[in-house]
Amino acid sequence: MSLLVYLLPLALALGAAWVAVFLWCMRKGQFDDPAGAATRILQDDPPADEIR
Amino acid sequence: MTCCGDATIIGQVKPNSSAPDPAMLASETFSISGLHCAGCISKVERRVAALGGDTSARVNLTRQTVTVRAPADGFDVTPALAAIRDLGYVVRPLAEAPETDETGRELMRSLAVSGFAAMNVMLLSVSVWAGADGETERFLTWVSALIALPALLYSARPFVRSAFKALSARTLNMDVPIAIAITLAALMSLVKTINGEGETYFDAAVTLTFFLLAGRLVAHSTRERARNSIRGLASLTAPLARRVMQDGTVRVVSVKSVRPGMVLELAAGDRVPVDSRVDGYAGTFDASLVTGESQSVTIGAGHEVGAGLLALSGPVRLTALRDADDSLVARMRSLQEAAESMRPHLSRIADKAARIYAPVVHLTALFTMIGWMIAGASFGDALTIAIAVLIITCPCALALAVPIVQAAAMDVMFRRGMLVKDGAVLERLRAVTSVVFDKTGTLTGPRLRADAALDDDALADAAALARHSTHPVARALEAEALRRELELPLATGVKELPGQGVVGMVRGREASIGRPTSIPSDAAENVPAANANVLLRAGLPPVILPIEDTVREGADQLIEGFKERGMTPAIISGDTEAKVAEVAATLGVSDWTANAKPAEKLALMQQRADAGERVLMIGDGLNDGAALAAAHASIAMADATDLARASADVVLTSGHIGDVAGAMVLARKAHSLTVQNLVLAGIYNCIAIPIAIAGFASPLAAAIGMSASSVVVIANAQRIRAG
Repeated sequence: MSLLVYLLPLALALGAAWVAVFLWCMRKGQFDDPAGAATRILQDDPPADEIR
Repeated sequence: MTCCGDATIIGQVKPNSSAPDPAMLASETFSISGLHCAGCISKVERRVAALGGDTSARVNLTRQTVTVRAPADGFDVTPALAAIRDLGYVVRPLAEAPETDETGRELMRSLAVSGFAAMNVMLLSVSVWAGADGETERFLTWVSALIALPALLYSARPFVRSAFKALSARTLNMDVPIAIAITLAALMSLVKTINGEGETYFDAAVTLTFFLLAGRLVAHSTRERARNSIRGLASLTAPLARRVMQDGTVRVVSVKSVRPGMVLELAAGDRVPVDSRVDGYAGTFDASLVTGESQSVTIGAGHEVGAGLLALSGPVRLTALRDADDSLVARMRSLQEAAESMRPHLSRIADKAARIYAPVVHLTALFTMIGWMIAGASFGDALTIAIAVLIITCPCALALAVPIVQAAAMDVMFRRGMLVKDGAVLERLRAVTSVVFDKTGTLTGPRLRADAALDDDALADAAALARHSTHPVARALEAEALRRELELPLATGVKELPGQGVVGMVRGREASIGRPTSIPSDAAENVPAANANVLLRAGLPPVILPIEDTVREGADQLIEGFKERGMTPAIISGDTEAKVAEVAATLGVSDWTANAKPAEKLALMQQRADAGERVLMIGDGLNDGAALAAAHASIAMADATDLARASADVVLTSGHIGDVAGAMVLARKAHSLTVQNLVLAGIYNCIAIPIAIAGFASPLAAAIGMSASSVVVIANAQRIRAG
């Protein structure tokens, strides 16, 4: 029982943190383009700076 | 109206206030087609970045859009668009501003919250089941309540809202039993927690919510994706007209502001903005999208010309006769709206199931309670058992049974180039008993004549330009080049002039394909036929591209297929009798009507509907809009007019008429899977209800039974992807 007093809030805090991160990602548009994100990882060159 | 050049970009420019950059950036979003892979994304983004000057592009592969950012001061996206076009992609302004998918976002947020709650409450429940008792049990139950109640308040809103809407309209939908089950489970568990009576249903309530939200999100995003693609197809004719002022100058005005009596001018390739009278010289017009006639018509001075016709020669002087709202296109649109309102209210299979299911469950619960009280149980105990019946028979599997199959089927069709607007379309598609085709643009399409004495070089050049257009003639050229396995040169600086053709640079030469009158070149005078498609290249003689209107590939098998299923295919066309008869004979269709005006098409559809037929209409023209809307189910071709696309249930982006057969097969498969799912859900209930009525339903059994039945139903739906 005494252990629960620590573990339970810890578990809940971790879960809540996960929800918060998820909602933040959504607001930042991380899930706006799932198809694009899946292929962007295959781009083998660094971003555009060498072209400039 | 002007061409789709860089100057006619419509859409709004939004200053981007969140950008940290001191120099304000503005952005604008365009539709882009031809994107497939990672290479395409980086090519586009890097090319624009290379322009410098803080201009950048961001591609969204899911929505097939590109957002161009540039300094708000002197905002100019023209160079960026030109650069992207040079790469060979077709960029067009969006017909409507992109909207954020608020419903999808709400479902996603609710799913996250209920998922969090479900995991944690389950964790606590397992402890209780594992044998926690006394103080510990009470403590764990209270924590569960504190997690589950706010989570449910937040994430069950989509169901509660929809249930309220249905009830206030005095109907029943699947969300009514869902909302009742969730609310009762939460309330009963709360009372039990306060009284310290043990067994609560918090876990069942949150898992139920989680599973249902997941199913709903899948269904919603599938539908949203189809809608986005259709929006990407939307035509981009800017609602503009060229008005000739008193002093002879020409001013571009919006079509809405055109009043009867105003003098207008049309260039070749423009569409007639409002119903008008031709002044001065006669003009040649293409009416194929409006009336279905495949031959162009010449309208002499003093005669009336309807809005929407495409001018093939120019310039043409017109005097406006009517406002935009009274013009041909607007009249067709109102005809279509009328047809839509006449469409019988088609109830969806899911709502039908709900209408039977909800009263049965609620009455069962009521009788259970009465039965237990007669048997001598206390009011509280009887109520508890009755609520358990409601929760355990919760329509989880049943609510998922239909939409999850439809979502899977729509996804398969999307991948094969068939955009389905709504899952309910599949039910209607399966139920059709007869089929009606439009002719021009549907059963027939332009094709390069097989005996064409066209050399490979010329064809390769023409196809290089044609690649940049979705026009059926351009597709025909590209198809022929592919058939001959030619290597296409890269065309740069390509511009499509709607109704006229495509111009650009090929192999270092200025080149164009299209109607000769419209192509700004000296060589045009050497071309004999005024209505033929011609390839012009600087320094080379013009080449006539022999395009003819032929029966599309796959049309004959499709009609054969319908006949084999015992349907009599019919053709209703606006084209002349001779042409329709010829096509009907080729395809072996005995039931055909020629010279049908839009209102007659609609009347014919209604006749069939009155005779008890459920008609599948396949068409593409402006004249088909009303008939498509009135049909039991309808399919439009991708290069159809906006109106036809808006009224059709399915849009074939592949352009293969033969795909209709595939759509029918999938619709039938989806139906059989739906029925299977409903049976599976029924079997689950047949087992679960007696247990619940007998009072043996523990929260553990409820949670396991519910999850298992949902997973079975979801897994079964995925079978549509096989084969």
